[in-house]
Amino acid sequence: MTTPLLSVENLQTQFETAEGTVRAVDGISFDVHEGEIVGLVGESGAGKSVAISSVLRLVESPGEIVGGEIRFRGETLLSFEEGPNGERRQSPESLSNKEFRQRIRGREIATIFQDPMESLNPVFTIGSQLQEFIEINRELPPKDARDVAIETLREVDIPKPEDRFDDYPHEFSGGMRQRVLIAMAIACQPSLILADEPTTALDVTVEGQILNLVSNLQEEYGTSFVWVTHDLAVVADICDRVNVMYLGQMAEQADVHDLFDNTKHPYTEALLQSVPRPDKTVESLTPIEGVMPEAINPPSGCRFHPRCPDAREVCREVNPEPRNVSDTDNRHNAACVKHDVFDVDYEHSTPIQSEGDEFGEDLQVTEGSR
Amino acid sequence: MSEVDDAGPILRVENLKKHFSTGSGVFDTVELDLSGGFPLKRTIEHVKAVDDVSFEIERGETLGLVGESGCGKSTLGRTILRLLQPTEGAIYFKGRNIAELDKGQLRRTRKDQQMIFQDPQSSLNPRMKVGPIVEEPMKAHDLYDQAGREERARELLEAVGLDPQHYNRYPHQFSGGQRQRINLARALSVDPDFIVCDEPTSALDASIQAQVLNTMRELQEEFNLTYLFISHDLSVIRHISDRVAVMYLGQIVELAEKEELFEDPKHPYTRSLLSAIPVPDPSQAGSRTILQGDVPDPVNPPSGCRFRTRCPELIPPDAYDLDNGEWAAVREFMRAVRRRAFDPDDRAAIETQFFDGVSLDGEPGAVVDDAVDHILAAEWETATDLLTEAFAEQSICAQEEPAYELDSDRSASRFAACHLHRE
Repeated sequence: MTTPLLSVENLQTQFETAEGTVRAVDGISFDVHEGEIVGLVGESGAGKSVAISSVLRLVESPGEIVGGEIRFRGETLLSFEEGPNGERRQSPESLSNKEFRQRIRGREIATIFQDPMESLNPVFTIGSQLQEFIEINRELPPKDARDVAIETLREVDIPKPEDRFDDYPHEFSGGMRQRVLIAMAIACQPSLILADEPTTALDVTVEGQILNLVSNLQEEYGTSFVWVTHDLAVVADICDRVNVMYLGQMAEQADVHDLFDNTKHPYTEALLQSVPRPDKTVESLTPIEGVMPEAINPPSGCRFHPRCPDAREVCREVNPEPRNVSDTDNRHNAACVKHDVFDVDYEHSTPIQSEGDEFGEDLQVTEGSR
Repeated sequence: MSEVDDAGPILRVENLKKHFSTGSGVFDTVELDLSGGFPLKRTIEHVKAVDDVSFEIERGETLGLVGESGCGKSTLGRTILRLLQPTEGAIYFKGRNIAELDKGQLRRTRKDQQMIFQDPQSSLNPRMKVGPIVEEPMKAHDLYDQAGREERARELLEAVGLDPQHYNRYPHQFSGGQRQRINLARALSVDPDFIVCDEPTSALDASIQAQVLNTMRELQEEFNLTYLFISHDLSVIRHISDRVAVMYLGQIVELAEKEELFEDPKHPYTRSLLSAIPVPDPSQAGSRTILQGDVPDPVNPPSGCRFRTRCPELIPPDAYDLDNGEWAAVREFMRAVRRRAFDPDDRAAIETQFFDGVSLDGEPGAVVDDAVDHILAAEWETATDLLTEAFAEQSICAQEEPAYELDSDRSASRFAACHLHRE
């Protein structure tokens, strides 16, 4: 196997709050290869956005990356070592923030966020923001940067790009603003784009336009993508491989076809059963029982066990790391002890009775508003 | 009430319109007019949010109302309940036109009609406990005494899947899905017949959405409710509805029984919507066809069929004899010119890009040649106008408003606003 473009190992990001430490990302690993679209899926609170921000070093205080290793094309971007007093600290191999900003972010790894209005400055024109970005990152003189900017806007299908260059963000529709962000992301021809729910706020027809645009760009430039989403339909549509997250950890990692047709983790299975489908009428939905617990106080053992239909006593004790459970050559990781490779005697463990009430949603008092 | 009609549909909406004026002050609406006479002119523009909509809802059914943002579906939902004053048209609720009721009469009908909003957070008063929140509508309508209200509130909390013990808790102590259940309990407290649900599950995660949708169905059966279910999510609409209305730019373009609508859509917009949504099945990946362009401005909607400016099945003008290939090439060219989507070099390049293998002659050919001249002279606007006038405006789609009743195997009739169904 060739060196992955991006490789994340055992990444840990936590937030110190008054109530205690929130381990938003708790030891996740994943790879992205050249030319791949990799999905990062989960419900709100799973830690997907924090994972992306960690790779981009955009985690803000009180959040902090406290462990793990991130490599890009084999080069270490971030790693940790043990200090003289046994404490964990960033190793000297890690790229400094300045170097990361100048060489990696924007040039090699670009990003697209969910809310395009928040990512664009409302008091500057669309064109000037795009042009400035190109001037700085590609070191072009203003006039050339302007030409590149207009060409990029045309490429993402903005009508009359010469005229719209001088418009302000509020004069663009939501879909067009998202196209501008995509234009900004591709303007420096990065090798990897991290997209955080970029189509969630958009209408279905606009979402379709954007997904097509991304597929075309990916074919044309061979750019790799990490696509963060809660929408399994989007994943099925554009991703090559998928990572499913639950409460800060990886539940399942597989090729997109294996994930949907040969699901190995009960959480993924339950998620697939709970969504209504546009292409066929489902008589009754099977919801997942309960709600996702707070990351500040995760359940013991497997984090999904209180909501899992397959949970047994052993699941309360063992918190499994994802392991390869594939019966083919394609790697298929699942973090569920019901598979034999975990060897924890799941077979003879007593099933846990469901604790949910008749409507399934456990009543639990959430502290403060989310 | 004696005049209540129990036989017909629970709700019948006839030619309902809701227009909003755009100007917000005196100076906003005044324009300089130098064409002669007094130099200032007062113009008020109107956003036609709901424009001539008619439909019926039968007792006990769920009518799904689906459309993209800005199509007017929420405005329609609110106007039906007269939370907004209709501009024109009639709303018969149990046979009585509520568009004409005065305040007092309207207030009494509110008991039978309730609404559930999208955001479960902002529709609950954070300073009130859950019990009193659920009792509030009963108080407003003078139902029961205090003890009776409390008893009913506890019953309802249980009915929507919450613990009656949580009567004394505040909204912030509940999760999003549970808050939406509180909204349900509040809406049910006055024992309504009809509930408008405006995107009730859009803010919820997939697993929680399924729980709430299931509860809504159970409650519908238990309390004999009629729902108008508004959503942009076609999967949710397919799951919950009996019949579905599709809205585009202030009008209903198709209304049909659910299975018919999803399996055999009769309007190009419905077809476009259905093919645009991704399906949670990787074997069907990449089969999307995409609707191009943006929704037009509702202040000046297109003439005739409002969808025609984006329609992939626009009907060629009868005046010219164009085959499918020729018509497709003309439309692709027209769209590219309007968007200035290419850099013109010379005539030959344009012709190979858009009219490769297609030979246009007669009048259409002359118009296209003319347009190319203008483009090469960098007169994009003139070229756009020329093409629009010669082709787009000549189609029946631009000249007549479509409205066709079609045969249906599953219900009394179905409706599609598209000239493809003309005889």
